[in-house]
Amino acid sequence: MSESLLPPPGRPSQAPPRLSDAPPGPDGKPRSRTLVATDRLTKYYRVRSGWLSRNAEPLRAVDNVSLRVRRGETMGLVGESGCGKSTLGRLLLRLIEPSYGRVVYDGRDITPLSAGELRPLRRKMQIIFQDPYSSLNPRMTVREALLEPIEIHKLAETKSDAQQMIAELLRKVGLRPEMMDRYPHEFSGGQRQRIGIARALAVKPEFIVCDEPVSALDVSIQAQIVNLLSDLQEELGVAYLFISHDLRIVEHMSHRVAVMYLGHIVEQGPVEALYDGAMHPYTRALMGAVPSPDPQKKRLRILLEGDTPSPLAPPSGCSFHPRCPRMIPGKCDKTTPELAELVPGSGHKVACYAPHTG
Amino acid sequence: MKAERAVPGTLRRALSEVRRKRGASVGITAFAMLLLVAIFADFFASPLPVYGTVRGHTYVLANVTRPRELQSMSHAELEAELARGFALRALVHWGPAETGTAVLRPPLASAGHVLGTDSDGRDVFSVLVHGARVVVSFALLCVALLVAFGALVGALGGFFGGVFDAIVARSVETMTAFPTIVLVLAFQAMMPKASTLTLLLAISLTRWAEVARLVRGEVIAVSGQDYVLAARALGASPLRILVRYVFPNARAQALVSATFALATVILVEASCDFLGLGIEESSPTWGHLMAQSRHHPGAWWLLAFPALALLGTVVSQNVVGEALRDALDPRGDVLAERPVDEAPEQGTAARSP
Ligand SMILES: Nc1ncnc2c1ncn2[C@@H]1O[C@H](COP(=O)(O)OP(=O)(O)OP(=O)(O)O)[C@@H](O)[C@H]1O
Ligand SMILES: [Mg+2]
Repeated sequence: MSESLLPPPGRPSQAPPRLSDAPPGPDGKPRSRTLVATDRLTKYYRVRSGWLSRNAEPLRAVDNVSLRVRRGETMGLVGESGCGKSTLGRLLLRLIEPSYGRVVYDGRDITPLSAGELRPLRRKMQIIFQDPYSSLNPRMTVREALLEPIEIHKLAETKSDAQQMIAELLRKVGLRPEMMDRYPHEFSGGQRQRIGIARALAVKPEFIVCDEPVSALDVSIQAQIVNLLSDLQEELGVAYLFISHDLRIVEHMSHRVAVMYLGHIVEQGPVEALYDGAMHPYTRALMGAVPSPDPQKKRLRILLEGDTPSPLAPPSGCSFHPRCPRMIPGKCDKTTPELAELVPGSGHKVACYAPHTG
Repeated sequence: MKAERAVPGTLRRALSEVRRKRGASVGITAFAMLLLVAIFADFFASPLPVYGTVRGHTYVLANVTRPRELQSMSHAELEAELARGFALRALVHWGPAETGTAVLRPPLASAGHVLGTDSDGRDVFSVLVHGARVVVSFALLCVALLVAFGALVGALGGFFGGVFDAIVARSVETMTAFPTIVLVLAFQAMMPKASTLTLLLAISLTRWAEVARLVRGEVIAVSGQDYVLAARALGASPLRILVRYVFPNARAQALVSATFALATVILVEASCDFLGLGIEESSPTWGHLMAQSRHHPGAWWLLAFPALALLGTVVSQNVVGEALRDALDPRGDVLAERPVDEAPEQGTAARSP
């Protein structure tokens, strides 16, 4: 499989949306509320159908995603497995190259930057992974793992400064500094996840992509890690893109939530609006699959019919239409609905021709 | 205690695991013995004494230092001189190149020749022992060369990908499709003058591909790990990732392939000697000894002893290689790696089943 830069999706050239509506910050410099924004971000993978076949079919892992994460807030990102959540998270940090579209970080387009130009910006954005077993190098002690960011960005003048920073980081994530010289295999999953968080925090980031940070953990430990992340946000003002397929954890963590389906954002909005008044049939179906802890809230239960279509051959029109109970023939299967606010100013956007309202 | 602290998938842990396997420790012992014989060949077979007085002059370690006065004496003269006083001798009193009058004698048939003599009256034991030295040093040099080259090419291809990797992958596929021996013989036959040097090149040029294949696979596996992605997210340069993450992982794999390569190189070298396309006739090797048996079919000892030495060497190498490979297999680690107790975390609630 190889990545390729395919021609941009056929879309009339329109003025790119303004991404940095910048009110002046406390120091007089323009300081936008928007920290990270994507502009029609798209990632195609080229998947060869056979080892000799020349015509590689494009797989649309992320398709035309425009998203904003504000300073200090948590943006939840939910969706079924394989819908492109991780790909989107990695695109935001430019750990993979987009096929099309832009990523704007703090008002600056980072898409054309070279690796060297990007390095200082790497301090500001970090990532935490799902699997605590593959996210730490088995050959590095905790000390070595945490020394890595300090060395790369020359964050400490002396060895003892670095030492103190490492101890401080460990304390911050609830580990004892005496554990510094242990190897990852001597820790439990939850402890490893804490080490991963400490590593991300070492550079004092403003933005962290949390790619299903608790999915691999025990339920009791999940709560601890989620609480740790919340506490750190309160203390450090860091913004999260919180990826999960556990809707309850997302509800608990997020200020705003985006719902992804087959590489598209189909609905997005403030957490209350989305959980209490989901408009997209897919979002409703997802929520129907969650047993509600609160019997007061009545949630419509729609059973999703059929499997997720392959992103290799996405359906025409709205990609959800083959499974959608509210599909309008001749419309939903012909044209793709735009993500737009139904009530202007509500911040609740949906990409649907037949949204649930009221 | 130490084994528990060792990091899974590392050399140290693998070696400690390998030591615990009986087959592997037999293999390691056999290889160690071969090395000892190769290094101390002069103590096993040499006409010159370890310590001895010849014509009023006392020599220490003459078998190693080879003083000219002693080397110029004939075998009979030297034997007579040494018999006169006290002398500490090598195990066998014949050098590998020394020819004698006792030609094609079977083992134990003539005094001083435990394993018999060859068609020129050379002592078979002496040729075997000194042949071990030639074989081992040739093989080590050759393996060092091909592993260094193969590992570098494989690591860079796997790490950077792209056109270079495509070329690496295709050439590895092509090279590994042919048996090493066929390519080496073709190469040697093509040379205007086949020599030890061309043999070294021929084997290195054909056998690096196997090493590159293993190392490349390992590097690709490592590069896909989240911790490498985390390092990239932290701003680590490709060089840093290569040096701190990729090479340490590839090192273990390189050692495994080196062990297997050693066996192949020794076998291929002996085959070339047997066919007269290998190391110069003047150097004693196992292959040359076996080659003589083609003209003297009755002299079974010319074939049997070097063949046994070869078999023992190759089998022990493979046993060690396999044990190392198993010990380094990360799949074997996964279960052992998880801590037995999910260590207590602050405020842990009761665990749901
Ligand atoms: N390197 C790659 N080459 C080809 N296809 C890829 C690659 N990485 C991801 N994909 C494909 O892109 C799609 C989106 O993958 P992604 O990992 O982003 O999904 P996800 O939403 O994170 O899923 P999960 O919940 O399982 O983590 C999938 O269909 C996947 O197979
Ligand atoms: Mg994922």
